[in-house]
Amino acid sequence: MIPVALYVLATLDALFVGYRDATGRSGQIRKHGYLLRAMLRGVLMGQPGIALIGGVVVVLFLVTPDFDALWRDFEIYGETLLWVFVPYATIALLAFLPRLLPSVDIRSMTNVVVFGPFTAVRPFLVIGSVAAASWRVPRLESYVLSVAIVIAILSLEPVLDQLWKRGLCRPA
Amino acid sequence: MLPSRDWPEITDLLVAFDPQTLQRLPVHRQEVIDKLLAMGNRRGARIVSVLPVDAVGVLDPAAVDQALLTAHREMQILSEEFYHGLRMARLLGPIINTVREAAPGQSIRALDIGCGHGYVVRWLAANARFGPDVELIGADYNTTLIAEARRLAQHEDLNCRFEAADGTRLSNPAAVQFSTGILHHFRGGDLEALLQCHERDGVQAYFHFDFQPSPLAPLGSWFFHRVRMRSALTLHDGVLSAIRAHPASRLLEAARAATPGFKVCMFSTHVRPLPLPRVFHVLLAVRPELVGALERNLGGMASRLGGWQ
Repeated sequence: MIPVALYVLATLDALFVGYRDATGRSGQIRKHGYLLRAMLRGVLMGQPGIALIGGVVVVLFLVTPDFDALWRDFEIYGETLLWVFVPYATIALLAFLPRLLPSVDIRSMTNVVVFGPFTAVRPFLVIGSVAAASWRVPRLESYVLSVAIVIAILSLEPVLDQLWKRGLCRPA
Repeated sequence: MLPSRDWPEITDLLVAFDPQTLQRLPVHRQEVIDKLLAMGNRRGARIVSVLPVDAVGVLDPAAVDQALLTAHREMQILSEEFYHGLRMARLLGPIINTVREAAPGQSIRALDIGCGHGYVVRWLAANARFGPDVELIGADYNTTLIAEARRLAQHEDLNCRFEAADGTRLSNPAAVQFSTGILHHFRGGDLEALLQCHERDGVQAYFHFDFQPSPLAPLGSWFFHRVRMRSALTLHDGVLSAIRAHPASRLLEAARAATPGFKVCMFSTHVRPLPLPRVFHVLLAVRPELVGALERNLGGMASRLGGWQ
């Protein structure tokens, strides 16, 4: 269950990264299609990173001398990540609800109070969460997995940016 | 060194036009760098120093235009996330209704002065329903930005028009004139000179959205731009805009002096009932005979009027 939940959260993060990456690149007014494509691009481009994390986990299980102990430790590790990212994702998703209200002030407030700060803290949260998980499960495999997670999750935005710079994505 | 109110925005230094012919004039990179350094703006000088030049040190117009387009696209994030189009429509609608009531049967031209790549005009054309008698026009002296505005409007089949012109000097002035984020570019007497353009026959109302200065504005602006913008130029100018913004007292003083034929006030300065200042405040002016009708047409929003002067 924990791996599935983390996969969903990582994919959701990739979706948001795709959206954010597309903002400020198109002058269009009606851009639902453009942003949907951007979110899909984020999800798709996020999968290799997630696969990298999965691959590292598989290799670590293959080489460990004590499979059961590592399984238990990685459950604790994953649980720690969920403690951080479930509230983070929940608040981010709930912040969309005020956007249904007619008040532009309240709608704008979601950007000021939630989305802006959440975007700013995201890299620190990723690094902080794997550090906390590694602290709870202090073993070499945890450190290796932490490095893989940080690289995979935080490299998505620069990768998407490169796609734009190389002309592989186009705004209208 | 902390940014100063006296520092010019880089985008203001990168382009120069002949005010009469709107012909583009060459800009020497070193002169821009020297000007920025003389004011202590090292960061700005570094940003300019990487822009390409020709053999005699003149900034490459195509590269400058690309930088400006990038900056305008990025700044559109600010407009989108703060629902600027909708805010504009909610104020422009009652103003148009007021002008329409005063002169029934006549078409109404609404002009965005210094429209850039035309976000506001295109948003209004796409989403607002002002009626077939309203013509939405955007004007900017930068031909590259206007070309982009036209291209985007055509791409989305929007009913609006863009002119590469100084919006303040159009031969047939629009009844309603407005702008977003241009007032702070005009310093000293230039602000009065800009506003004076509204004091022409045919102009019934004008309003200007611009950044509202507050102790927190520069920090908030820095944070927003840091999180959302990619280019160093946009980050630099965006933060500086908040620092250079005119206080309401200065805007009112200039408007009273430049347009004595109008009643002027500040509109929508705070998020009531909270004492929270809005990112933008609005300098609003109408002909005196239209004040009553505008207040009626504004409905509940009339409570946001700061008091006519």
